[in-house]
Order: sequence, then structure tokens, then C-alpha cells
Amino acid sequence: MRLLKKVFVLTVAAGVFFPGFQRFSSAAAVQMSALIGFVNPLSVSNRSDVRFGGIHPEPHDQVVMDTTGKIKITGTGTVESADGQPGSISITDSNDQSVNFLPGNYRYGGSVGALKAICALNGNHADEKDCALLPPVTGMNKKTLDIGMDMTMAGAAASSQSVPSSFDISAVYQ
Amino acid sequence: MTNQGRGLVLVASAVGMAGVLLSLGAAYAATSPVTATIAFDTPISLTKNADISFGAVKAGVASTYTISTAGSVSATGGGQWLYGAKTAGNVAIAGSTFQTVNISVGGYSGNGGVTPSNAKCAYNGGGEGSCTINGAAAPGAGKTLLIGVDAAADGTQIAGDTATPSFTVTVVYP
Repeated sequence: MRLLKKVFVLTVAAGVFFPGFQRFSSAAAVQMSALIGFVNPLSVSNRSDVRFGGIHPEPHDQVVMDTTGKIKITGTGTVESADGQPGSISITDSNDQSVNFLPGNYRYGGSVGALKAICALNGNHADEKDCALLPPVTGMNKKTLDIGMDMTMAGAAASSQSVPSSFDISAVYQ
Repeated sequence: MTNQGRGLVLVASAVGMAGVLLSLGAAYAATSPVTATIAFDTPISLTKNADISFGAVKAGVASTYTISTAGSVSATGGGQWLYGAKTAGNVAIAGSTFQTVNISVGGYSGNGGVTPSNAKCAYNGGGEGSCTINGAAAPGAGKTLLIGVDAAADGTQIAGDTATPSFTVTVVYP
């Protein structure tokens, strides 16, 4: 009887602690979070376009209007009025994210052979430069970009000829 | 039969019964071998290498943003991704070198007016698909699970808000 009891105990023990052929089971979990931030998009408004006024450039002259509106011709042409109107755009964003300014989509023709935009940020005219060379700007929620132009004439402009030229300035989050 | 004779018969019967009982007792004492099989393997472990990040999106617009397992963000309606790091979730799964695993996702929890849903997974370099993966390859020393998700913003968020909806990734041995 004692032997029978021993066998029974062993059998129960095997059933409880060594469940034969039962697959080892395990699980693990991890919580994932998805961070999403909300900001206002950049807002850009064109306050004024670039206006040269009266100039009489000759072929191959370089005509520059700086970001304060002063016009200068390098070559043989003449300037009727030395004061033009620089372009101006304002940029508003709601945070301290870096913003890049990208000129592009230059459109010109007729007697204009080359064109590039000149930019000064927030009235810093002493540091005006090719808009493509402006460094990213950070930490100014409201920005004003004054815009001049640097043109090189290809041919003679007829008297009273209006030469429409244009370009885009894009402000993008870096 | 005398009283003495009756007593002898009773004693003889009792001895006979005892003999029968003894022989039955011998049959109960049979033994049987018991085999205890026990397998050893590595528990599943999950290491979260990266939570999900959508970057910064347009405030004040109801939209569903989707980040893929490759980390690209798209938006429905008027939603717009503006800037910031876009990161898919990344979990390293380690465990058995031969036992497949089942992967699942649940416990979606909204936050800040953003509701997560429809997680998508890419396991061990595979393509993006559902996060219900049965019989996925044994993870061994470590296999990567990339995770994307949909996040529905209700449009109440203002600039500067952040939200961190969450959900749970579970991996089990089947």
C-alpha cells in the first residue's frame, strides 16, 4: 500500500510540475507613444513689389537697386530717379523654428539678360546679400524681408519700354 | 457439527478470505515509469528603441495623419506636416531561436484630442502591413519591428500644443 501511495504521489507530481510536451509560453508587451506637435503654418504677405522707376540702361549695363531702394547703374546708362521702391514681404510664424528663404522661379526677358534678388532681413540693410545666401533665421516670430534687384542688361531697352520681370521668394521651415 | 467443528470452519474461512485479499493487494502494487519532459528556451524581451514622432503639423485643423513604417507622414483634408523629425516606432524583439512569435497591437489610447488607430508593422525587414502577425520568424538575438500608426486630430489643437496618444505592442509565443 505504501508503494502504491508513492507511485500515486510521483504521478501527481509529474503532472503538476512537468507537464509533458506542453509548449513553454511567454509574452512581452511595450507601450508605444506617438508624439505629435501642432503649430501654425508660416504666413507670408507681400507688402510691396519692386519698382525701379525711370532708368535708361545700355546693353550690358548692370542695374542694381539695393534693399533701401537706391538705384545705381554700372556702365553707360543713366538713372532718372535714384530712388526706387524695394520689395517687401512680411513673414509670420508662431514658434522659434528656423526658417529658410529661397528665391527662385526667375522670369525675365526682353532686354534683361540676368536677374537676381537681393535681400535684407529686418532692416539690416548693411548686411544685404543675394537672397539665396541668406542663412536660416531662428527666433523671430515676425520677420520683414526687404528685397532689391540686381539686373544685367542684354540689349538696349527701347524708350518707354516696360520690362516685367518677376521671381518668387519662398519661406520654408528648415 | 459440534461447536468446535463450527469454529474450525469459521477460522478456515477467515484464513481463505485473507488469502484472497492478500493476493489482490499484490496486484495493486504494480509500478509504471513516468517521463518528465521539460524544455528550456529564452523568454521574449522587447526593447523600445524609438517611440513614434510625427513632427509638427498644422494646428486647428481636423485631419488624420499617417506615419508609415518608413517614417513618412501624410495627411488627409486640410492637414499638413510642417517640420520636425518624423520617426517610426522601433522595437527590438529577442527570444527563442526556433520558436515563432505572434505580434499584436491594442490598447489604443487617445490624448490631447488625437486618437490613434490602425497601427502598421514591418517585421524583420519585411514590408509594411497589419500589426496582427501570427507565426512571425523566431526572433533569436534580436529582430526589428518598425511601427507606424494613424493619428486623428479633432481640430481643437492650437499652436504650441502637443499630444501623445499611445497603444500597446504585444509579442507572445503561440
